[in-house]
Formats: sequence, structure tokens, C-alpha cells
Amino acid sequence: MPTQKRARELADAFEKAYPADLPERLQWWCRVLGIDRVRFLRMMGMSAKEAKEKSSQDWKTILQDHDWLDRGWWVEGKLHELLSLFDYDWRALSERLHQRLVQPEGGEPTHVTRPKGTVEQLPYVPYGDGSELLLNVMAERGPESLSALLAYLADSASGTAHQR
Amino acid sequence: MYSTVSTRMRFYRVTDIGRTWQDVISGIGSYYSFGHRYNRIQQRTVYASADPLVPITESAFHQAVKWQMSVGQGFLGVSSLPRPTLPLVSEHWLWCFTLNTALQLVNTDSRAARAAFHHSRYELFNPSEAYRTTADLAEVIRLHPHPQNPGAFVDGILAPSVRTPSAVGYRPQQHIFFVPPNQLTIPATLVTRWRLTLEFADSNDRSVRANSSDIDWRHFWFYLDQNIAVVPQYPRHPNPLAFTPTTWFEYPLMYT
Repeated sequence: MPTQKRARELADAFEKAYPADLPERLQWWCRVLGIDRVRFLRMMGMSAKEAKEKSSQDWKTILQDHDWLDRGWWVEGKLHELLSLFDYDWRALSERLHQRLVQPEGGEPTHVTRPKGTVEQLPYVPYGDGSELLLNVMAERGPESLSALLAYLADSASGTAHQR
Repeated sequence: MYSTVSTRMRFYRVTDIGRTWQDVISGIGSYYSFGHRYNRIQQRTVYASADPLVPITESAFHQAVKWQMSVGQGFLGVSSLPRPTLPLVSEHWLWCFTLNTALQLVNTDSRAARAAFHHSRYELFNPSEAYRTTADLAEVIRLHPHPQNPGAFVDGILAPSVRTPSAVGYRPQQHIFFVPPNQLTIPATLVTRWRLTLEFADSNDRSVRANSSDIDWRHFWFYLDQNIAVVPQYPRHPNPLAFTPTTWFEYPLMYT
């Protein structure tokens, strides 16, 4: 059956390519997904400032801290779980993260105009930052968790992430 | 209340693709995510069973839930999960190992354990994925003294498998090993492994296609290969069956 054969091929390719140790695994994820290391450090629970400071350190050094090691395993597990939804096709996952959403040309026609006035964004998400909300959702158990991870990585890939 | 698992017993565990032997015995898979039925996040725990059908059925349940989530998570927007590739086939590893030392587990389904830890039997069989109660129970058991080694704690839990159907006189059980805080793995030796393929078919036992009208989530099919060894029958099962590689087997799955 062609699809079953394809699933086996993808699984075999992942099995062959995936490193054995955590530092190499996280490095592998950064490379194949084209995601900045800072995003993964933020997933591990570092503040934006802390993640930026550690962004020049290699994974091995960062993971010497037992607390970061534990959190590194969590990130690795989440990425592994997400990839399994793509049948271990990491190229397909990467393409998905980097694809741009198609915008309707010129937007929808409307006859309604907004009343004039200043615009102030209310901080209805934690810290007023969408990425923070996604981090919170992905840390919860539930069906939205992997969707939040996908959106968080795609946000990073598109370069639209806001950092505090 | 205690159940001794000897070094002669064989245990089975199912993992995703890409997992190494070190991952298998360090609890990766239960450790990383959100906790599981008997562990919280970052409590390294190895879920296994002496009955190979138990980890296969438990993993089939989780695979079904994953696919059901993909089916229901929409197709518009950047956060929508990919639609499952059809047919619904997934790849895993079935690992077989022995323990290097005998371990002492608390049998949560025993009368003595229920008296000691004040839990109800029905809590162990709760079909929901709300695991707080059993994770709390495991938290208490983790601090329970080892029956033979003063100053040490028990090595794990023997608990009923919620997803594997029972038979007359037989209740499938999970052997749940705690990875000691000062160690990376449980003391175990790899015996062998098989590639495990799971499939959910339609109600006519045909592979699911885009035009299939339903998916039979109450049964799953499994197939072992990449190892010529037969998975031996589990003698305590009332209808013990050995699993010959390159053969498809169908088995039921419990949701409620």
C-alpha cells in the first residue's frame, strides 16, 4: 500500500537522522525547522532577556543546569509529539511553519467606518503578548496545546514574534 | 499490598519512532509532556507491562486520541493541525526488557493499598484523561517506604490498564516504574524490539479512505516486523496468544 510504505520511509528517515543526545537533538530541531534558538529557550521558561543572554551559549552548556535540562526534555518531547502528527516528515512541518497565509486581495469590501479616536490595546492576554498566551496554552494539557505550539513556531518562522 | 517483580520477568513498552534504548528506560515519553495517569510533569516514570497487549493497546488509545484531535482541529489558520494522512497508519517501537534487580511495586488495586492510601477502586478505572487524582495517589506512593530497604522508597506501582479490555479472571495491569531521582534510568537490560505498526480501519475492516463513511475507533489493528522473534504468549491471559511478526492482529480498545 503506497501510503503505508511512505509512512514507513518517513519513519525510517527520521530514525536515521535524529540524534541520540538532548543537546544535539535541540540543535537538530533549530536547524531543520529554521527556528531561532531563542524561541526554544523561551519555551523552556526563560524570560526574553535571559533567553537573549543565553542565545550565544551552546546547548551542552545551557543544559548543564539540571533545571534547564528537565525543561529541555519537555521541549524535545513537545516537538517530537508535534512531528508525529506530520508522520515524522520534518520537511513538511518546516514548510508548514514557513508558509505565509494567503491574504484576500485588497481585503473585504465594507461600508462601515470605525468611529474616530485613539486605539489602545487592552492587555487581555498575559503581558499583552500573543506569544506569551501561546506559551501558556501549550503548557496546558488539552487539544489546543499542539495547535498553540504550531502557531508559536510559525509565529517565529514568519518573524512576527514580539519580544518583551 | 506489595508486588515483587523479578529479574526473570519480561516487560514491554511502546515508544514513538526516534526513541533510543536510553529514552525507553529513562521515562522519556511520560516525563516530558503534561504528566500521565501516574506521574506529574518532570517525574520520570517508565510505563510498561508484562503483558505485551497492554502497552500496545494503551499506545493505540493515545494514537486514536491524537488522530481524533487532528480530525477536529480545523483546517483554516496557522494553528490548525495537519489532517491525518490516510489510511490511518502509525509507526512505533515495541521494546522488550528485563530488570537488573528485583523491584517492589505497590499494587494499587489491592485491598491493603486502598486502606493505606485511602483511594477508591473506581478512581483507578476512571476512563477520563483527567489524571489529577491518580497522579496525586502516585505522588503519595513515591514517598512510601520500601518494604525491604530501610531509608529507601518503593520502586513503582502496579495498576490496572484502563484501555485494555478485561477477561474473566484476568485484569490487565501496567507495571509503572519510578526512575530514582539520583539516577538517569531504571536498572534494566534490553532483550529485543519490534517495529510496531498501528492502524484504525472502518467498520468493514477496510483501510480508511477519503470516502470512508466511518472509522471504527473501538478496535485497532497491529503488525510487528523488523524482528523474526515471536512475541511470546502471556501465560496469565485466559486466551494466551503469541504474536508472530508480519501478521495483522485486531484488538478492542476501551474508551469508557
